[in-house]
Amino acid sequence: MTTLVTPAASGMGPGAGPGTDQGWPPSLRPGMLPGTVPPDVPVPEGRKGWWRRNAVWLVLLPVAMAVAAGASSFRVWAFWWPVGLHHEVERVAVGEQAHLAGEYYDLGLDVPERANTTVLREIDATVTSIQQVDRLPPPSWGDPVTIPDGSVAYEVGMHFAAEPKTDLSGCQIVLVADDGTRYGESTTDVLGSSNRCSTPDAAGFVSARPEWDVTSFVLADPAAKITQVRLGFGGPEYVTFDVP
Amino acid sequence: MKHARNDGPDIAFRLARRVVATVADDMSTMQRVGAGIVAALVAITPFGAWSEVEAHADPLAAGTPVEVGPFEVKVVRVATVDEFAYLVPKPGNHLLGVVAEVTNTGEVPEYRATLGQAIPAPQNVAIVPKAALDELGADTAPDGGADPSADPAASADLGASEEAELPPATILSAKDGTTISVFNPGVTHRVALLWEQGGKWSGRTIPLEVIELEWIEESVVSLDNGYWLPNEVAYHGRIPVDAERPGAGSNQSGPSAEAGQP
Amino acid sequence: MRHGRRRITWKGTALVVGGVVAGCTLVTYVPQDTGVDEPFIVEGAVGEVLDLTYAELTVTEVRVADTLAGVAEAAAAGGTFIVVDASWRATQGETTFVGAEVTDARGRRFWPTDQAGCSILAKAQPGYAWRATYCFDVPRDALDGATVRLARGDQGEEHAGQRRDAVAVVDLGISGREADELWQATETVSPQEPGYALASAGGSEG
Repeated sequence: MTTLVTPAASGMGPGAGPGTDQGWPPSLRPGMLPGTVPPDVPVPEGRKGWWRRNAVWLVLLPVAMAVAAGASSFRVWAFWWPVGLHHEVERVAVGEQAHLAGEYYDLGLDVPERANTTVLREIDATVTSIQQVDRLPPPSWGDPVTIPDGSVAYEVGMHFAAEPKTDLSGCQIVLVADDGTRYGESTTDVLGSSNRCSTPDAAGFVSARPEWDVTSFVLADPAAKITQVRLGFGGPEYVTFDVP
Repeated sequence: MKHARNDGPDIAFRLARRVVATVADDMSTMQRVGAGIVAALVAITPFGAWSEVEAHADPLAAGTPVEVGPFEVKVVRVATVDEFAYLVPKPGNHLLGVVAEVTNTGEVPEYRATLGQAIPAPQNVAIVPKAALDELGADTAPDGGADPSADPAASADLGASEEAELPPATILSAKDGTTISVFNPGVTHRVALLWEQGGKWSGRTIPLEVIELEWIEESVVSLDNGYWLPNEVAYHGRIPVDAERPGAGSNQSGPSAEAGQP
Repeated sequence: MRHGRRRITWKGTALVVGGVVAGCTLVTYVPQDTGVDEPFIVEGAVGEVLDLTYAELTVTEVRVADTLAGVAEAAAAGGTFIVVDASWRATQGETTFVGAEVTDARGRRFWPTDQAGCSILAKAQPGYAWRATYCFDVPRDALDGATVRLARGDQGEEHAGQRRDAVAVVDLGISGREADELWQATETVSPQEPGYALASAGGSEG
């Protein structure tokens, strides 16, 4: 057997085999019989690049990532967002009036006809005064409270205006220091009142009058510089009063 | 084989059938039946076919410690008592108390409920069933809140109540009647497991069972991991009943539990 | 490559199996970054003020008691009670301090009891120090070398609630001989109800 066609001309390797000397077209691969449809011959038109071939998926990838992130972030709106003060709806200075509006789910404990409905709570609030005090007034219930050593007490005066029977439970009057420390976040104040936005003689957790005033006492660190007062009802909406 | 390769997923099935067919072709009918039985026996093995059907319960006796899950439990005595600590049964009923010395032999604390699962309420001794406890709650509600038909049915008809689910024990310290919520490793507590019992019951012994607790490191069916699962009855015995106070055992502080009560 | 059905090739099989083996090998043998899960442990001693970023904590006093005499009830120990008085001063906002656990020298873990008015958790805000008394019922051989671990995160589920968060570990300072004396003593302790702590968190009323 002789090799008549040089490997260079036919594009075949030296192992081309016995068939090559029988005059088959040089384009046939080794092992292929004449008449066989060759398998996909590599696309000659300049081989489309990987980026071109996968263009559709490349466009869809960011979309898929956004959808995946959204699907796995349900905890943010389901658990984190509704609990805590996250949405500042208005920011005014002390002495100015702010309007706090936010929805909550009413269980109907005080107003049975609102039971199990989503209610929009709207309340106008003004911080009338904020000052340090040397002693705490006697609480309406329980033993007198003295300011513990290593603490100072602030008295915050607030004026409210809202439709009667506005739910006031979960009221938080928070003093925020310049370093971000939040004093008085609890819904119970230092005197043991668990309804900080109601007057001490209030019977339930809903407002009785169109306008009323309250004072709330908050313990803070002696070195703290209070820069804000925040009012909220558990969140996420709250209003901020800047302390001059 | 070319055909099988192209059909991918059922290649194993086809291969197995081929092997079975080849082997079975050479067999007599009797051999086939025999081979079929053997194959069936092998197939049911992983499903626990050879485990003992009747879990054999070891004897349980007062004074003999038994190991159950993370606990070593020694039943000291069983007694009936009119009331204990904050537990006051309905008028006419009394409390059945099992006094036991319980030691957590593990390395980590165990909750009271785990012990409660290991020692269920004794059967057929007129323990007031769970439904009656719900009814107790209803009694405190304003009149008319409770279902009037439920009241006589649950408390009077003891025969029917045996079918109802019995409540888990209330577990208190036998020394002082306080609630022990956690059993720390290595600490031996003398506890009283208490159930409300119908006043008419006056037996001499109660049947007491201790349930084996199996540690589930990773649960197959649920997402819960690392807990004690109540399994089969591991110990069973009849314990004699003293008609005395469960707290007043061999120690001096028994009466002190009663002292705090009106 | 042919269109239509694809053939299972040795090369393809080797790629898949090789990939799985390589992945399993990585997961099995490459050390996981344990730092991701580990809490930030702040070690200290009784009387020291420990900075946990979310709070300042002081273990003010450690006592041992056979009996706890509370306001509503008295409780006798199964082993003996380690009574740990601590003072929490929150530094960010209202915080619930849920973690409280004693660990002995052998690594056994002990959780607090709520018998006789003892605390199993504390809740405090910035602006004041809040005192809590934790009581742990432990066996005799747990006293020597025991430490208490306090944090805002829960210690259940292998300290899952404390991952990547500050945790205080305070040596209770009980050595071998002391342990025997403490075990034999028959002390009765009245746990104080939670309340405002004294001025200097480091001081102790005992």
